[in-house]
Amino acid sequence: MTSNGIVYIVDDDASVRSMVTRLFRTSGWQVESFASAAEFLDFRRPNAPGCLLLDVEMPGLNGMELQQRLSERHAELPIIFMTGHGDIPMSVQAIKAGAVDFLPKPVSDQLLLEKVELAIQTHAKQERESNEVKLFRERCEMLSNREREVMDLVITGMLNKQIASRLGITQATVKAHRGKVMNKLGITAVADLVRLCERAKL
Amino acid sequence: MNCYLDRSGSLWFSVGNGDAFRIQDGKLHAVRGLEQGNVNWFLELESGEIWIGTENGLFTVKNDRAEQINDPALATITSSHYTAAHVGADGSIWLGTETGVVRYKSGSFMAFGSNEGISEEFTDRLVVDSRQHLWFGGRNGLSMAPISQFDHHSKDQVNQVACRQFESFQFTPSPFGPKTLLASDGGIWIAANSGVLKIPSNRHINSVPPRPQIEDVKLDGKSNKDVSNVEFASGRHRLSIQFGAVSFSSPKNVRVRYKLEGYDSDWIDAQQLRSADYTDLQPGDYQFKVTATNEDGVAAEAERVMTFTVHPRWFETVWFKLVTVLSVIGFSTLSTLVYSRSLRRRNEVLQREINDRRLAETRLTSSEKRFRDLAESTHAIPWEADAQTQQFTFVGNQAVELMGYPVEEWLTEDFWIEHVHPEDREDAVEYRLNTTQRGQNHQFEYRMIAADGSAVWLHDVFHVVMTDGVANRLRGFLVDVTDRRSAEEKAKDYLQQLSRLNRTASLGEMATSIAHEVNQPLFAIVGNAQIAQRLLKQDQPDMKEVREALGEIVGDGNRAASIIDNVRSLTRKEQRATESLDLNQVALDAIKFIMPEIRKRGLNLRTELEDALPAINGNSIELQQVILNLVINGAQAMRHAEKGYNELLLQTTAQNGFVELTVKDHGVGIEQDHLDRLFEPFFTTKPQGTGMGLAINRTIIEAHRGSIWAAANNPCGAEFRFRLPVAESIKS
Repeated sequence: MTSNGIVYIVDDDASVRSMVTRLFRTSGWQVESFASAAEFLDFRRPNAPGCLLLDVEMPGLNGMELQQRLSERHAELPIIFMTGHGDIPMSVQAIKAGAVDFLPKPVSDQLLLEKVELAIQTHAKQERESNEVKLFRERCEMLSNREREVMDLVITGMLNKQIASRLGITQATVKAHRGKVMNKLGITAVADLVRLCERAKL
Repeated sequence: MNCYLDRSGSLWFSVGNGDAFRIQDGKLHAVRGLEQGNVNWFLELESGEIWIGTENGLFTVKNDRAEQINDPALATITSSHYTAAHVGADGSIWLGTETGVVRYKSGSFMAFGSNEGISEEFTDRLVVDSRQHLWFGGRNGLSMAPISQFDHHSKDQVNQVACRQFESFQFTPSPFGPKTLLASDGGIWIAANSGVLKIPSNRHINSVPPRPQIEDVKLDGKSNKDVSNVEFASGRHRLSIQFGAVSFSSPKNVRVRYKLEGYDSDWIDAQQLRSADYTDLQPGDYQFKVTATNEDGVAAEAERVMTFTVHPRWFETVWFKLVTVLSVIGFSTLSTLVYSRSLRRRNEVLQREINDRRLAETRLTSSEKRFRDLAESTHAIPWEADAQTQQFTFVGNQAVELMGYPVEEWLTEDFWIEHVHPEDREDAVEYRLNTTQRGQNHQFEYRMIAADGSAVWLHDVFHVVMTDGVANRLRGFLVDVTDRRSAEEKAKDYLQQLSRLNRTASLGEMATSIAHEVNQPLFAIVGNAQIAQRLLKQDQPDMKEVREALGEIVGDGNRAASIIDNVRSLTRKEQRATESLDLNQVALDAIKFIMPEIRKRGLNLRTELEDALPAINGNSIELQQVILNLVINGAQAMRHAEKGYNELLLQTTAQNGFVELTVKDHGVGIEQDHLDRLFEPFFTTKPQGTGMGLAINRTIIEAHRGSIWAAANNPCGAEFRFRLPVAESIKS
């Protein structure tokens, strides 16, 4: 099994680091491990889906602080915390700040593998979707004012006839505008148009 | 219903919904091929070709069959509703659509829509007047532009066609045409909502070109009227350039465009704005240009140009970077010099302190001796013995009372040797024989067995009487020090108990740390074991990984065991055993447990351990306890430490004959009044403190023949330091 994704491990304990690295390596993942938060921050992450396994207790920047730094950098990497003695307030804080999970050590290998795989899949999906929305927004920029007006009415569910009367143009022109909108946006179904507009908050 | 008479005499007409006909020589011909939708107009070209404009497209007719004209240029204007057509004097055919205007000239189409400056609105009135202006209008108003503008656009000389708009004339769309007419006098007629709009041929045209102007330049809101000389440094500046164009007849319809060379890639239509704002311009030379066209499309004769310079900021210049590098080098050299000088000074101060301390110690010893002499004169038993045989030749009467043996028995052979406590016998006899042989006066302590079988502690002081260079007689005093001794023993027991209590208390502080410390190897062990299991289930297991995993399990198991062993040794109730120790190792063992707890509190424990520290004699557990206690105290004092002062420093140094260990914190510090009382038992400033920690520390350090003291740290906090003598064998 070879999976397309990178598991990042930040833990100051060499034994834990070595074990977790082996666990993911032997399960076919690419692994990058770091002994401190600072080392991880210095690392130039490749543009690939991933998941960060983060120890809470570390010298220097601790796990929670690293999470905050990453969120300041808008790095949308999913984070799974592992801790030897986490308490409830700590886990609530971590989850509120966007952590995917907060696992107490020792964690079963099966659980860890499942959690990480799920996080990486979710991350990859998010990346794809945000690329799709970005492309859609760029394409919307290419629409003329009139086309944009027509699109705005189309997504409200209006019929061509209603749009024509609203804008004072013929149905044929509405149809032509619609065709150009779909063409420029590279979409074939109105349902996709509605979904993407929703997602792109247009 | 539309009618059209072509030059060949055919009458073309349409009757709604896509049906068009031609009547020639009295015969009716149907035109086929038109799709659904109203026919708006018929038009005969120079060539005699007939075009038909409908709601659904533009058609050409061949043999009464309509074929749609599909030209790529037409696709750019979206609408296929052809509302109007007009033939200009130059032979151009102008077509109106719902979304712009199309020009057909020399066999090719050119579409003008919103991107080209033409309103994207329904255009169904279209006519070219005798002075070559195209008038086009519809629901949103009437517009006019010189045909030269369209020519310029076609040659890529302007990005947009400058139109003059007359919004007061708005026309309701109507399916009946034609709606415009070029009269023979050169005037034009346009069908309006109620009546006809006539535009005479001698309509005034403003031929005076507008004069573009740059009126003001504001830098960060500050006005700079001298626009010929603008320069400023880069950075967060806001440059606002105000401009305009003078044209008197219709200022509102002047069209102004501007461009900042070096920044804008194209001309920008200012529309209603008369200023351009720029922020964060990069260093460099810039040219700001303004041009304008008046309401009738007459362009300015020349652009107005303003040049300005953005200078690099001081830190963006090359010389600054050079100076920075040089000053960093200079500064570090200087600080090294200053630092080594201050070290020398501190060394001198320490030396002086050591000398003072030695003097004080000497004084103490002599006063102690005087005091002891006095005590002996009251409770002492005088005695005399043979220097060779150790047989008593005389004892004071107090001896009977003290030991329960009659004086005669004291005077028998080997009485002393036989009655010294068996545990002390070897040392005591050897000591007395040695000192006697060397002729030294001496004093020492040992136990003797009394008549009732109890052990009596005696302090023995004696003087060797020499005759002809040979030890002849011993004369001395015996003092009963049993009470003192047993008090000391009790104190020692008590100390050990207290220490253990204190260690157990510290253990509470360390519980989380210990759990964490043990949990890590356990996690690694369990994980590696699971990996090995998983690998072994595979058909061809990767034995190298399995071996590595097993190897790490062994290593981590040992690590966990040694952690637990260490914790247990801290709480074990054991007798004081001394051994030769490296204080650095003792310190490292002590802080290993407390390190995670310190970090958890957001503190940083730094160690500065001197290499090759001379060995000391002592009890490792007790010394660990002292160090642990000092570190925990420091951490507690820094509970409310300010940012930047979160460092706790542990230092060891060797000072001639001594080894010192210092713990410095940046906490709340110690009040001057408290400095002397710190080490007293039960003295505490902490609400939950027992006041025993430092007292026990002092007892332990003094039991190691060392000393401990406290001082203020710089700039805040406290430092605790203890000093232990270097082990004898090394010292001599």
